[in-house]
Amino acid sequence: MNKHDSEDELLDQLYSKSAKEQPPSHLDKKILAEAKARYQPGTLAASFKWQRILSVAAVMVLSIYVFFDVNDNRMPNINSELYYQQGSQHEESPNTSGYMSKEQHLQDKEKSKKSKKNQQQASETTLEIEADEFSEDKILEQRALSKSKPKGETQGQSKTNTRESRALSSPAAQQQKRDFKAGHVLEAENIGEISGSIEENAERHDAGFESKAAAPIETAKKQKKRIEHRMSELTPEPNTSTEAEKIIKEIQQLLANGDLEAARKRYDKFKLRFPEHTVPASIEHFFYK
Amino acid sequence: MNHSNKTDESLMQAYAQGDVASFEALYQKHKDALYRYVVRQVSNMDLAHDLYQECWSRIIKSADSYTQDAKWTTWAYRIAHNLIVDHYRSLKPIDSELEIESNSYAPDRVYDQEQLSEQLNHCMSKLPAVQCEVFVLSQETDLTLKMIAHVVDASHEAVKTRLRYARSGLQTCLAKFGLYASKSLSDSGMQT
Repeated sequence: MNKHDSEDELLDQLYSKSAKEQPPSHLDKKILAEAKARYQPGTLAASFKWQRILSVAAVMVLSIYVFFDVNDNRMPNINSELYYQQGSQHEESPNTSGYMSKEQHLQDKEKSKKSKKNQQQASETTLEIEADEFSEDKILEQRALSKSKPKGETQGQSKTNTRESRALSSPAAQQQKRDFKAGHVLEAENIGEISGSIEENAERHDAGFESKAAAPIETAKKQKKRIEHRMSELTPEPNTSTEAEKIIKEIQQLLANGDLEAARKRYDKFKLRFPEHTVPASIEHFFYK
Repeated sequence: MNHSNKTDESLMQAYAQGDVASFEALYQKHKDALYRYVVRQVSNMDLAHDLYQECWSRIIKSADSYTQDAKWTTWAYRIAHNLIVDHYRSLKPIDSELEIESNSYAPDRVYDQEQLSEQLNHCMSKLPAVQCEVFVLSQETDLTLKMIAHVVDASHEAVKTRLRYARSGLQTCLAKFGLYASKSLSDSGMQT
């Protein structure tokens, strides 16, 4: 062994004696844990998969439960809302605490049907009354016309009568007649007399001013209107009291049926039409509670 | 299961098939040498620890792609080498610092084992990185020069030259500290 080899041996010995460093234990643990994690992925990955599946399933179950639970809680409220909408005319308060029983529901339906029927009946009665009034108007008109016809009238006179009848059938005249229809037979007679004078005037006009045929008719109409207006002002309106009483009866009937809205409307109209008419205390008390 | 009879390559293959115990055996067998290989080339201990851990992480991750074409130690140290090269590429001159350190020369001083180790480590740290690397590989592993050449990605001749320069540099350094005399070695119990 030469000097160079001995020096190398000494160096190797020195190195082997001095080389005592070791990795720290925490590094060993980390590295071994990493090695285990890489080649024992089955348990970890499987557990993660199961966790995912379980979490998704749990979320779905919870969401479905919440959905149905919310719906269940909402149903009674919806029913009560419907109840309010349908039975708003009822005086009873709806049961909002829970479900309504079937019997209750059926009873409510029957009540609502009854109230509707009553409403229909009330409206029918009002229509009938109006129809009667209209027929009365017609009768009065016919009477007035028949009375206004004098005996032994000439052809010219008949012509003027037809003109007059046309004039009377105009909307203004009808309106006036409407006022008149509430009057008495005396009024009709007076009007008949007046109409007779008008006819006379018309005769004069026909005789004297045949060339100016349209002007006297118009003046006659105006005269008739003025007279009728004066008559209506002067004469009392006994029919108004009967009408008012009828309406009051209707209101009472509506109140008895529980149709408050219709009764209220009818009452308002009544007050507008007959502001000075006295209303029964029961009705007034009801509306001014 | 006894893994002492198995070669490094078979242990690595067993680990690649999921035998973690094989990896533990492999780790216990090579952890100190690989650690020293890293520590001797990187002066910063924290960086050395990071590189050491990263080296084993790469070994673990590359277990599936490992084939028996190369020796396991060659393959593993190649990984460590690449890591160190990526982090620490500079070559350091040795002469100027050795002259400064030579001021602490004391011929009549008797060194104990710990002091000898410190001096050796000091001299190794003054070596150029490529020379130190080859020297450590030659000391820590049973790799031949050809294998070391494969690890450090250099030619066989270059490795041979680096090793020779490394040895002479260390001898010179240690001699300046008075450590290379047979007397001081025998006194410190280093003589076999």
